[in-house]
Amino acid sequence: MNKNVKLLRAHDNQIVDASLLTLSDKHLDDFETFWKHRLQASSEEDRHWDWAMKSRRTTLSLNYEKYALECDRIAQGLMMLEIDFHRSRLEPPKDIVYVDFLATAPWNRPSVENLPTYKGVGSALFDFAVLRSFELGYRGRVGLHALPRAAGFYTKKGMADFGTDPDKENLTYFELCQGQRAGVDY
Amino acid sequence: MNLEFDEKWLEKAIQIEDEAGCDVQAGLDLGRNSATYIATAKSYIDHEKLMLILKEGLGNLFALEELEALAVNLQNCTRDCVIEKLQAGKTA
Repeated sequence: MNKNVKLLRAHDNQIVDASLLTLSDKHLDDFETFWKHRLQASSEEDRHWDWAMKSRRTTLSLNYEKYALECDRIAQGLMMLEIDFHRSRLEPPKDIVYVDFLATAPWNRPSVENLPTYKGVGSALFDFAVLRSFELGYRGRVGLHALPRAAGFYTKKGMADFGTDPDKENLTYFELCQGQRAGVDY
Repeated sequence: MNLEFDEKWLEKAIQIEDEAGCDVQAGLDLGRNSATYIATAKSYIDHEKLMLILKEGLGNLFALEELEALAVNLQNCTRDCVIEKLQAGKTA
């Protein structure tokens, strides 16, 4: 899988080419080399995440799809999807794509950098999850539990807010129905 | 559906990101709320109870200091297993 994506390089306002790829060992190495120490030194909500372990745990499962957004030969964002077993709360019992994990590189985050290196990384990953939902015949239905600092983005994308989920550490569950209000002409 | 991640898409994407003014992340957030608990080996097993069991079962074989070391090792090992389990945890 290799899908072309445009990103904005913020410091010179230039549009640059990026690639959405199936997650590889190289991307996990990027996480270890470039992301991890910056996250662990931060107060980011995902500072404890171990993407290599997450990937290993799901290697044999057909339920998982794992992706990386690569630009400048470095992983700028990572995402893990579940494509089966999750059902819609908006339209039960229809299938949804569930975003298991989604993170952008620390240098692309407004909470870490006043001027993120690349803009559009998180949007590309999220919109790709919606695209996969359409490809799988789920008509754009996507669900996820948002990290608290990211909830505003999913609201802006037009996802339905189901409130905090006591079974999931009180994270807020969001669901997109048929991609109708996601700010993109799906 | 054929979504292209082109300049037109990017313009809209950045507008939404800027308006939201936040990071884009999703997934279970165990570390934020339970880091202190996870980091404490003695959170999972009562040390005194464990020592009682070890003394009862192995008291004739090991000295008290050795049993103490066994108990600490077991608690540390348990903590590491819990962390591994939680980090691999699914959100639904």
